[in-house]
Amino acid sequence: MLAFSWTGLILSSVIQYGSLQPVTEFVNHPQSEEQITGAFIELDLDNDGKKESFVPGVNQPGEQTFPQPISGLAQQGKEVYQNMGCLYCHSQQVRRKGFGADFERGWGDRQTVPRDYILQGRVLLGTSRTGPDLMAVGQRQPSWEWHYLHLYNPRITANPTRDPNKPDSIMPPFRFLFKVQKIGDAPSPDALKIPDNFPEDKAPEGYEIVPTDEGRALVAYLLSLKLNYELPESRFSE
Amino acid sequence: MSPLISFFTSIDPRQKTGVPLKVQLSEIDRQMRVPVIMFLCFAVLWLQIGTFFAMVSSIKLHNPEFLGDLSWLTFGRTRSAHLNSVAYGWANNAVFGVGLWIMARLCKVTVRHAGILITAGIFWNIGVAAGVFGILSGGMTSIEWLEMPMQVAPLLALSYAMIGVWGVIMFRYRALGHVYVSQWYILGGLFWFPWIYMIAQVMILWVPARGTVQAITNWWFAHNVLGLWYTPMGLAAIYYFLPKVLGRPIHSYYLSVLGFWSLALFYNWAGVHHLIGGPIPVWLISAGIVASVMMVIPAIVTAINHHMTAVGNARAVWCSPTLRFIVFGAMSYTFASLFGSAMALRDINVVTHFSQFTVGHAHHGAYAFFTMVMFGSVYFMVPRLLKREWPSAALIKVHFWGTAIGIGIMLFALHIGGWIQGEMWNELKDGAPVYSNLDVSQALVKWFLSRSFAGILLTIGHVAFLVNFVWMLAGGKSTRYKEGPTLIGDKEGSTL
Amino acid sequence: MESWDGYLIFIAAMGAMFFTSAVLVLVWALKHKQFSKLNQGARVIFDEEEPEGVHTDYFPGEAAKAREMLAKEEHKPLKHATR
Ligand code: HEC
Repeated sequence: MLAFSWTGLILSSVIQYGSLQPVTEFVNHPQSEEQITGAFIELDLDNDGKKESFVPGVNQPGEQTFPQPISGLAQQGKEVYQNMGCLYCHSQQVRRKGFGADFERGWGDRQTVPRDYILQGRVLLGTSRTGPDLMAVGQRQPSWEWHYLHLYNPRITANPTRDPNKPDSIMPPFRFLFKVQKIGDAPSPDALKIPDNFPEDKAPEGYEIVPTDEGRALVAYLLSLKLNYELPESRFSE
Repeated sequence: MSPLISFFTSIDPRQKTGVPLKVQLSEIDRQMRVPVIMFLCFAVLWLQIGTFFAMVSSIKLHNPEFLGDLSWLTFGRTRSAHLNSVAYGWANNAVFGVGLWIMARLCKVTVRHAGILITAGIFWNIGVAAGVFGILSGGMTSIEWLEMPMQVAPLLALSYAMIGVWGVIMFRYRALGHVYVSQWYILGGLFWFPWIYMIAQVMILWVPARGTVQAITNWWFAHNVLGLWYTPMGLAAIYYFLPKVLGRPIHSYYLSVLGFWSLALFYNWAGVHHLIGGPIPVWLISAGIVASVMMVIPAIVTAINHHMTAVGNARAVWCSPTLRFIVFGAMSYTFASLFGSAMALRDINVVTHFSQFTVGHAHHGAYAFFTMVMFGSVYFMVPRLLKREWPSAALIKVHFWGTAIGIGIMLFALHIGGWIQGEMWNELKDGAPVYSNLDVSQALVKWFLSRSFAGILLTIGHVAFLVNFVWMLAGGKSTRYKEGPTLIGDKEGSTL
Repeated sequence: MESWDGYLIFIAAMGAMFFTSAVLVLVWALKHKQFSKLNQGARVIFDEEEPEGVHTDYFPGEAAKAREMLAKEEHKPLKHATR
């Protein structure tokens, strides 16, 4: 019975997924085998003055396809994300509009679908939202500086004035992704600017706090998390 | 005869010719003593380690700065160290000890080459220790229930094979014709666990499947390791100890067999309900929901059966340390199963899914049911294995009340707090969220505090257990039991 | 990541194997009359050392007290029955 279920659940999805490929946002020739109904677009791609109709699915050579693979630095950052266990408080998936409030919270402008994950070596969907979803955090918080401060001490970004009546963050600090170093000839460009309300977090006079390689990679990964493209089976309008 | 063949004949644990066939339970206990006690020692040790990591993680959730500057002890790692210590350390060792012991008693045979079993057991624990170390030192995989670095998997798999196989061998050479329902459960579990473990390891870590197939495999595994490994072992123990201690057979043996086959049939489909609303094919989710709802059948069947067996014997249950824990566990099994089925319904899942409700549910099954049953089993087994009475009734009572009240508070806090959390994430007014990220995380703090309080009670219980256990091993004050049961019959002393 | 064929064959074979084994077990159980005379089967856990009808577990040091209490209780339904 177990074997049966396993064949049912996993095997069939493997078969179904095996054919999934990255896609451009429209494209696919009408004669193509993979036809997704309802969404086709008329375009003049070969500039002969006549528009051809395209349905989503298969790529034209040389075109930008989605989802996109992440950069080498972001990949290293993903490993930090994994071994620090960010997954145990953060998911990376957006549920459809009307099922929960993922959409309204700005966690993504559309539902995520299997194709969004096909290029990821390890899939980090997550099942816990002690913190917000991070599928599109790179769009929501595009600032390196913000992420550095937040990782260094989430209380800094959550409650900069340290007002006891305001809610605070319960995310753990990741200070070990930063190092304190003597300021050289000029301050490093990515040195943290700790607000005056957090004197205990400041570096001593003549020193500065900068991210380690791991910290930099992690933020590169966070900034790479974007849901700024459409897929034929999941569009912004839906 | 080649050495290989003679080895294979030598694993046959049946009595050799000339020796009387009738085997006494006390004789089996005597022969199983060393390996079983070893597994229980490891189990108790891992329970303490797991409890330590649990407390650290729990405090971190309301006091994020607590041990905040140690990368080894960041929340994501301690909670995973906790999970893996209690799952592969405590629970698996307990299963090996309890499961093999019940198997031996029901098959009326024992393990021939206990040395192999013991060696494999030691290697299993080395593997778990290496895995937990790997998690803390930065090798965590971030795959739920499989956090240990993939390099330890072959060691664990191999050790498991050398442990689990003895259960199968005993079954193969069993002396009795009838297969008792506990044997079905144990045998099933012994086959299911390596199968799901290996497939999950291969498909997620060694040759990663594509995209969210990984997530499906992950939850197929993580749900089944509870449902088709810990649950059958827990049920096997209940079906053994409940009638055994009461001295009356199970109410309806027919229902118990039905419960087994329906568990085997439905449970394994249900795991996908951890992905409801997620990026996987919709029909899969629907199948998962249907299967989860079907789980009501084995839950109800088992509940009726246990209830009918114990009904009218409340005082006997209360007078027995074993049954206090076991009946607590049996009741939790029913409630946890029913909650689990409900949580798979879309309308409920939309609230509970990403919240602490799920964490509460996991502890409902893994602790309030499974762990309590294992505690009960240990209280029955060790006196028979060591021919000695537990040194302290008071410590057993501290253990019982600490854990029973502790897990009660914890489940209450996580279920209610989780529900509130889920509602707050979802709450909309005029199309805009009512609560900010920070509001939600702040609202959780008081529930997390209650959980830490519950954790302290659990820790007290576990320490009482540890003290009693070590005292017992060390000889105790009543080296030989003086007054009958726990051990039966006054002739006992002579068999020593 | 591109070719799935080897994978499919591997898992299909494993799946088939396990499914077959499950069916075989069920067939075996039916053939060996594991589903008949179930009520007798329920009693295999007892033997002369831990016989049916005897409680086998008490708190250490409290067995005598418990037995006494239980004995009282067990009389109740008996009286009931004889009335
Ligand atoms: C104990 C749970 C927990 C862990 C572990 C955790 N976080 Fe968080 N995270 C939160 C909470 C709660 C918030 C919301 C409050 C805040 O912004 O600090 C949050 C917010 C965030 C945000 C801001 C999201 C937004 O929409 O504003 C980012 C980015 C983030 N976390 C990244 C991470 C990374 C990277 C890690 C791992 C290195 C991590 N988190 C580990 C709980 C956690």
